[in-house]
Amino acid sequence: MNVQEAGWLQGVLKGDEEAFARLVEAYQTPVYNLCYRMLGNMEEAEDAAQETFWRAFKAIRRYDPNRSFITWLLSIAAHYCIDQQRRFTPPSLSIEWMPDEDIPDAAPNPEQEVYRSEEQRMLHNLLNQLNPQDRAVIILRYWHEMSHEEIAQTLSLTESAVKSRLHRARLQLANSWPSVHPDAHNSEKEKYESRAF
Amino acid sequence: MNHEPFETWILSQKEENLTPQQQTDLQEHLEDCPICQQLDTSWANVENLLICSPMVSAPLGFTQRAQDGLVKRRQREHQLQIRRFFLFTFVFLAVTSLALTAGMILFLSPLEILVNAMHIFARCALFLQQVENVLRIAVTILPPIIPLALITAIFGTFTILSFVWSLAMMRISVKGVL
Repeated sequence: MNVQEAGWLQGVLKGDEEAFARLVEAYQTPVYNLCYRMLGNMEEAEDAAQETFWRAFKAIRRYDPNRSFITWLLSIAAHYCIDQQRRFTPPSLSIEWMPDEDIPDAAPNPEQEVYRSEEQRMLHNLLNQLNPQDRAVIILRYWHEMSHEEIAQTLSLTESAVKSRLHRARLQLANSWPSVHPDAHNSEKEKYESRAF
Repeated sequence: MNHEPFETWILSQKEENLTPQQQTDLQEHLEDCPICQQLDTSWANVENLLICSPMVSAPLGFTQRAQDGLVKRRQREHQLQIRRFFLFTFVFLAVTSLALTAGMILFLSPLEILVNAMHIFARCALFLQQVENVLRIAVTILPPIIPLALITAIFGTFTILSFVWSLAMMRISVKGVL
């Protein structure tokens, strides 16, 4: 956290709404991304991300400045999304729901768009196969590039539990790949060379 | 066929940094094991998909909605606090009154309660009469300025207390109890 963000945090501690807005602006993408990947639905992701920031605002006095702020924020988001997932069955996904992504290409051609949408659909279907906590582990590892230790802190798990969940989730994702990818059985071997060969 | 430790190596090649010997062992195993071959290919695809998928940005106007939401939620929270505060006060008073009434009914007969109430009433009336007498005597004995100062002090105190009470009520209704 830089000096400016520390200043905003001090402002939030005093109840300053403007400082809160600056913090939201700075951290909205990682929080929203986690919620979206966890819930797979734009509206639910927005609600979850808003709820995360509100909970963070209410609990800001309990935040330990020695800890990473983003890890703390993502921890709130992850726990909220896991609870939501346990409470409700996940909705089915459609390509129309796919939101804009941070892709540098400003004007992708329609073919690329379709390909990207298809990829995202596959990804959501794959993630939907996992239980909420395993899904959170995968999201934090691959999108937020967290270490095992950081994931453990975020999800209130031990490091060995994170490693075991990560292994189980990867195995499940790999095993689900042929059922999610339409041409996996036919063209997989021709298209991709094994990394071990 | 035993797939361990090859399964673990396949799934965490990028994190584990396999030794050249482990890589050779894995390669040899993959040549003989179609199950691990399938796992290796599938995981390569999945991992590629995970690594290539970018972060999803929040929809436009997210911050503004968060700020508006904060104002609304804080107002709602304060209203809830006020309701809880008044409800708690009411319940406390009601329970205390009920407990006192129940205690009186348990330990005293209705006649004793009536007599005690009348006794208290009579003592209050007597006290007020005594105060009135003291004030009358004070007015006749003391210089005219002192009773006026006394009345001003009493009224002043009541005014200040009322003002403090109004301020407290206003603060509770605007900012909540805490």
